[in-house]
Amino acid sequence: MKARKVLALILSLAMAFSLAACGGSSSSAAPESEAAPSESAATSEEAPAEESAPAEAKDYTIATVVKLTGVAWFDRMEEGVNQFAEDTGIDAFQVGDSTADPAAQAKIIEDMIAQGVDAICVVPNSTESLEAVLQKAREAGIVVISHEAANIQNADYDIEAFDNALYGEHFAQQLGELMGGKGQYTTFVGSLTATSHNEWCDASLAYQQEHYPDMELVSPKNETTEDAENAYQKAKELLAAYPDLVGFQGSAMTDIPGVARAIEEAGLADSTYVIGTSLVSTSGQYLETGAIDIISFWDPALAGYAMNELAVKVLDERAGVGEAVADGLSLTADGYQDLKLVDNTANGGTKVFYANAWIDVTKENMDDPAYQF
Amino acid sequence: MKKIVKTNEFFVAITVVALCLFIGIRNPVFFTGANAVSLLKNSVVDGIMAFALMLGIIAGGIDVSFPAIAVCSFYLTNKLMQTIDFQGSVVLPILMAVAIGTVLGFINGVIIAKYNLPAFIVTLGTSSVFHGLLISLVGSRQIGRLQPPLEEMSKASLFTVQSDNAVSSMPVTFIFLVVIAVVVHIILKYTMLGRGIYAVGGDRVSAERAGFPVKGIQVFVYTFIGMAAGLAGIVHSIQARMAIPTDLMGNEMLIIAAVVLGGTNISGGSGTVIGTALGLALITITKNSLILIGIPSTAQRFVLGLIIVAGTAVSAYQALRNSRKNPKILADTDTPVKDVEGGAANV
Repeated sequence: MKARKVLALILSLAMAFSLAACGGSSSSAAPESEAAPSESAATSEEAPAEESAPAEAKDYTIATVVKLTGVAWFDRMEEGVNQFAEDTGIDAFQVGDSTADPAAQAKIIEDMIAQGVDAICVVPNSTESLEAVLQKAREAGIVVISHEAANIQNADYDIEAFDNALYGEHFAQQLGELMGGKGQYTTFVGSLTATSHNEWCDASLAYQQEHYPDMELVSPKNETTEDAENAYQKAKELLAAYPDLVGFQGSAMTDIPGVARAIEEAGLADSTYVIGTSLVSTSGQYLETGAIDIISFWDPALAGYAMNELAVKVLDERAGVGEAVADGLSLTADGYQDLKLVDNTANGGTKVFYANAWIDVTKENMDDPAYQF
Repeated sequence: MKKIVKTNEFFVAITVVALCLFIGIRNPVFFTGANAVSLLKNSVVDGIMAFALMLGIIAGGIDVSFPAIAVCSFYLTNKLMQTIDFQGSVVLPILMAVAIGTVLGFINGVIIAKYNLPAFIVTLGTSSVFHGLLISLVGSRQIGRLQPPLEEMSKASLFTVQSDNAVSSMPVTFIFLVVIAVVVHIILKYTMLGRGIYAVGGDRVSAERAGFPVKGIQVFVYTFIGMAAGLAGIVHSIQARMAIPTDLMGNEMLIIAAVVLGGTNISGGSGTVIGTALGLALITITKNSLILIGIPSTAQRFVLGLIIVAGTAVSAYQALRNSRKNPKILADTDTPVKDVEGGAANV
């Protein structure tokens, strides 16, 4: 009986520990980050910033808090953050939970506040659930930079790789050209509550209605829960439900590889058009076979690098050194020059910088070493 | 005949048929061969896990760690295969995944049986321990392309059905689902072990006094669930042609729902393979037909939830009626438990 109680205690401790471990995974993330560069050393060297600007290492600590670890996207972002740390000598590191849980992310930010970092760069799972803790961070004098969260309130600046509306419109443009301006198409989102995915799909639909009125959107925003198997199953069902369906637009990285598998199985690779956000490492095999036509992405390493650069600019401005952070700001990360500033502070938002840093990849340029992540 | 009409399975079967008719009338595409093959294919991973989980629920337990076990199995396996650039037979990675699952399931079983702890709490704990250890120790980088032997297997099919312009091929992995279903059926129906599983779930104390090795049975059940989860995991990664360590997590509730929908008593003592197959069919059909009948994606979760609530309510009501009519424990498991009942009565 006693042994049972002891074991129960050990087990509940183990549970608490494992939850805590998920939270403060700065230590658990470390081995992965060390392993990462060796796998893609070639790319991480040439990817961000050709020149390393700051001469002397500044005494800042900057934490980058991402949605979750364990996906290629944020592994790649970590390469950018590590590159930044290496180039500048600033103590910059990335942390995240193993699940995309807003509460776990808030807990990590609490930990960072307690650690007394100078700046927090954050890619929120849900902006609403982070507002309170980010407000607390700012009250503690911490600079907050967000990414993929243009609607956020409690950040000094948000920085976006591009304007979501323009990115969405560029999908409609691609699909319109591929489909010759007519036929049925559909769209996928990783989750119906993902702000960016919804904005891409909405902008794409608006552009299509204006420029390609003969195209028809059927069964919009199919939800895949970011699982390629779900995307496959939905695509099969869509092909059965809409025999004339020829266009597919994906949002989550695993959407279009799943769609492409359904299309290959049906032997429709040549008569359908598949485009969307994905990476060469996930979708390369389907670009090769022609099941996927174009993939678009922005390099999360560059985004991570740019967030940290912006954080330093804001910290410098606060300390009274360096240039003012304003419209037209240029960073060293590729594609993050001459940023457009949109000030939403009047209606309760924050200041948002937009770059034009998306990349389109087809079968022709998929082997470019800069895209292998 | 009268007996069949009164079983849980009969009610679930009626619900499944009604659902099929409803969907088929809304969209005749539902009744094509290609769609049927699609549905069977989509039920492979969930099905392997559901049949094994049913054993645990019949034995009066529960397991919520099987998605984590599945992820550990397929991710570790694929990671190793990638590291050594494996080119051999596909049998090896499958065996490896099954072995990993078996070991993790055995750990669950030993903790639960030896220390007599509630299975829900134990597996909730081990679920985050297994997944947490995997992410922190092994890493979490997504594997976007499997080794050639596994990729070939994902493209291999038993047969292909073409109807109108839709094509569906039955994956080789479907054999695993059939094998698991048959094995579970044989265990439950024709072995002393199966009688023991029903007995432990029906009334643990009676089972103990009737001479069943209760702890042994518990260890077996959780080890079996782990083994099946390992198999389901590698099948998932073969079908998806990638290995992503966040997949499958969170699927446990849907699979528990499938088992309970099929008439398995959530507190143990009753349940059949046929019932679970029907519960699984109900979930799979609903999940994969909402687009066909034109339900917008924003409403799909709501409709799926509604079907689960309605379905489990019917099952629960049916079980309640049975237990009122026949208050003796182990009531609605037919023939195999007769002698157990005798033993229990003597106590």
